[in-house]
Amino acid sequence: MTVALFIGMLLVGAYTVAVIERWTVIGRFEPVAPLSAAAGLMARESLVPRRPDRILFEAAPPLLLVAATLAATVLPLAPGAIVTDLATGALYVNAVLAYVMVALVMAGWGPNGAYAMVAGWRFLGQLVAYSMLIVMPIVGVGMRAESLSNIDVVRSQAPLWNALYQPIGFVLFVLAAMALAFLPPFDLPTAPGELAGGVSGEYTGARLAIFRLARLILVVTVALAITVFYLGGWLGPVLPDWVWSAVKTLAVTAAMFVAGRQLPRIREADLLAWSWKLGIPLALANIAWVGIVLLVVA
Amino acid sequence: MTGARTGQPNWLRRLLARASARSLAVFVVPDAGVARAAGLDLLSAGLRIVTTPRHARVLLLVGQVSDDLERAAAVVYAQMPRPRSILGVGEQETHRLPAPDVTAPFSQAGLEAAVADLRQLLAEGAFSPDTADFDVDAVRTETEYVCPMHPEVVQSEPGSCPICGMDLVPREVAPGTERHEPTGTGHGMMAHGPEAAAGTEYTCPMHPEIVQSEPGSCPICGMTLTPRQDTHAEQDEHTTSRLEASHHTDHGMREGSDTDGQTYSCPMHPEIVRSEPGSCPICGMRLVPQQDVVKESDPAGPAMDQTDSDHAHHRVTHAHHDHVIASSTSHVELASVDERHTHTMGNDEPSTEHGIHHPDDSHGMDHNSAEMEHGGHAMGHGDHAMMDHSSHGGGGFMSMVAMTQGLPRSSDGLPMEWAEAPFGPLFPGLPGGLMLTLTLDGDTVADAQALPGTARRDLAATWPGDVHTLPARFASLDLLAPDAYAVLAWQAIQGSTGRVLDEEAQRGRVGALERARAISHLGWLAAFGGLLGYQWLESEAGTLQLSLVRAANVSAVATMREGVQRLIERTDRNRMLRRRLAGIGVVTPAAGDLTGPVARADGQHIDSRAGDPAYQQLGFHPITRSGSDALARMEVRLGEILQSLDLIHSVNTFTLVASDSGPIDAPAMMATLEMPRGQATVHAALESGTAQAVHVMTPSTAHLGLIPHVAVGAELADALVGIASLDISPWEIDQ
Repeated sequence: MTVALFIGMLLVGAYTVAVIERWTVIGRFEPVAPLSAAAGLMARESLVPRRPDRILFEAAPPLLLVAATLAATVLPLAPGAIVTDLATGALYVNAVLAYVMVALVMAGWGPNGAYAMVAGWRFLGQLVAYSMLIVMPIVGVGMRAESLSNIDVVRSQAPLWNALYQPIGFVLFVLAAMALAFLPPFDLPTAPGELAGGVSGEYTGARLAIFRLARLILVVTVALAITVFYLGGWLGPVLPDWVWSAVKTLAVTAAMFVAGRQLPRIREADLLAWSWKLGIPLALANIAWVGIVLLVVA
Repeated sequence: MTGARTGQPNWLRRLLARASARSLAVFVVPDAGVARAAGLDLLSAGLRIVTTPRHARVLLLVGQVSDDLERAAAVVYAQMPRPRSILGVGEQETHRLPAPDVTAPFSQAGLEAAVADLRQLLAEGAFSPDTADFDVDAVRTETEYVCPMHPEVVQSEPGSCPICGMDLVPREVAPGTERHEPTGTGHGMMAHGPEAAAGTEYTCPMHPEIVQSEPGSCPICGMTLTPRQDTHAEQDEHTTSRLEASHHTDHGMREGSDTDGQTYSCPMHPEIVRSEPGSCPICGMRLVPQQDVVKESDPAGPAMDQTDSDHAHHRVTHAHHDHVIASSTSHVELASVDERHTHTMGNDEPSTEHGIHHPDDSHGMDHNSAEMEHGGHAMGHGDHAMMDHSSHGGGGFMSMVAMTQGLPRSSDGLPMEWAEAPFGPLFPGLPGGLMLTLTLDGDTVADAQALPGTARRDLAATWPGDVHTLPARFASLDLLAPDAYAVLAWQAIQGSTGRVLDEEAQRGRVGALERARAISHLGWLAAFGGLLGYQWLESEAGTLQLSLVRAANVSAVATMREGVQRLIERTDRNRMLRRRLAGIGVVTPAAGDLTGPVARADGQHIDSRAGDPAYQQLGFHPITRSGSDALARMEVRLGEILQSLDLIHSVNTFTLVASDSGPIDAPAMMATLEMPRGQATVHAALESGTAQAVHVMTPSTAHLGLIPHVAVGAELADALVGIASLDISPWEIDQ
């Protein structure tokens, strides 16, 4: 798959996610709105707040974009439709997405504003909560596939999707992925009503456009990761492979947005407590479960 | 267009401008709740509400704003990126802001027409070759350059410090003022940490023996004296010199000193001194050896004795002044930690030691340093929060202990830079017009101050006059509960006439008041949902509020009952919401006077409606809960919305009949009613039918004092939820 095609696919994905998000928020399909909003951002001044940490301020949105994009390079849409089939693909996703935290802390620190700074540090705490719950469910996925190549991970699900094979891991991974993509109710670093936009609150114009695009691509990436790891990737009858991947990814996105609307923003302390006291034991139980099933079936 | 972006219009810019005019992000002044209570549906008019001025294209002014609010709105406008515009709803008279680009009457149709005009204007006038500058005093600043180590070095140009050669760092000051005003990004950026309190002394950076209570210059070297904080002048006088003394003396005698006098102290809590290793009973950190406190009979000589006794003295005074710790104890610390290090490095320069980590101390000190880096950075982040390094002597690297000297201590015992951040008066999570200053210690609120009167419109000045027009003038007192105070004025007038009312008028009064209550509670619920990030609640409650504001008759109100019931069921079932609110913002009568839903959420049957015959007839019972927290207050208000709808249904009207227009002979009038937020009372002296001195006591004024109780010590998110759950209307605070 050529890189141009890959980037085009991500952009189409980001656009579709923007339309879905708008639909969940205002209840109407407005297919032109994301485009006009993007045009609006390009037409506007891109201000730099006073006395910023210039390097962090400038680098944060591109870093977020790069992290989200790189993670998507190892996720297959179809058997041949993958930029690079890394042997350690599943782990690579986790490694690259760690930079999401770096980007958000930078975006919080860079503009030299109280709200953004509090929001940036909050996300650092959020990482402490979700990061183990990203990587530990991946262990269970890798165990079943006996490989960390994402192509193998999808193929291993031919008899039964991982969502059913290891449901605990699936639920944990979805929640952790939502926290990673700071989707409601885990939107602590952007917290619109609470911190006036938080880490993105000081960005304007083209920089804000990059930030928003990066966030949308991040949502696409985590939804695609959920699809690949747990929902059988491209596997499905009748329709072409890539269509199945796209349909599942968008369904995951819509489900995440709809669920987020129904819940209040989680407290940081609760997020940490639940992640460590409940999430990690459950993730260990999931690994044990997968191990037992593998032994019994083998 | 006043807010056009500078640039020659070309085809690309025209295309972008036209496309972008389709999506209008607005920042609402005073807030979205006021717009909804006035019956304006911004979303269906094509306006998307955003929470930061940086993302807004349009500044929407709803109604005439107070002078203070306009000043805040001007800062918001200055922060919006161009092309930007102002849309005014209702009568507008702006002094600080440019005149609105488009104005609309107070109606949905008028707003929609104005939005269409605005789109046209933005599509055509977004770029203009010559544009006017917009500047507000609050964001105009000058930059000066200071040395991070020598605060006395201040110059207007960048450069390096003449004393230590470090690069000067810029800081901003408001023109003509000594202290930097909180201005800038968002709704104000971080301002100073806690100011130097009483007991600031001035000392020479080079000659620490020079200490005086006034600023001035050093009589020895002529340098400007620098401020430092301590309450013990005498103690201070010795601090620096002793520090140096200990460096030299201890250093020399380390080898000879035995460990008989070894004590162990907590790196964070110097008052903890033990004779054996162990952990600190306060913070649990491992105690570090404190070798310089040796027995008095130590053979090391007079110099050492001198040092020892000084240290001892320090520790004692410290124990009595837990919060003055600041410079004195950190220095004690520094000396004891550094000397060992100095020894190993064979380095006599006090300046270089501070930055180096001590290998044998890593378990204690490195942890500290990492923690305290927060403080250090937070300081840099505030960028004008210069710390007092004066007693540091000749410059060089700072240890984290030294950097955090003089800083307040958090509840976990770590000294940290506290940041004072303004929340309001246009902060999205709080009612527009409410102005708070929160002192943040990390993301915990260390102090909360409410500044009353930001929303003040001085309506009281307009109240004296013909008493029969008072209800109309009272109607806009609380913009979040329109007409509620009209009922109060009406009631006062009726009472003063002494005539018995017909039943129709009584029912109209009940209906009008209950409608105002339901509108107010629904508006609160929508804003609360917004603060909580609970989008469904925000949109559902907002929609219901709008339909109630727009309801033309009782049957239209009756159709809303189902929606309110769904609201109650959903919030009742939502365990995550209940968990989020339980135990947050607990207030009991010990905190101050409670009234309205806040009192009823505390289990008190305080409701002046219970004693009102018109309500008694309807079988009214106040709704109470016992949690005293944000959850109980939400439940009380939810229950009251449904109760109000049922009361409107029972009286079958919500039209306030014009008050008795006959002559009034009474010398005064008075009435007390249960407003949406609690009990309100109006007093007025009358003179032949003319109100003279009108005084209104409002529930929000009483509740303002509760803010520190719910906020201090809570995490920022919880503090905001607690404050919002009090439902304080800044509009009610007008006197």
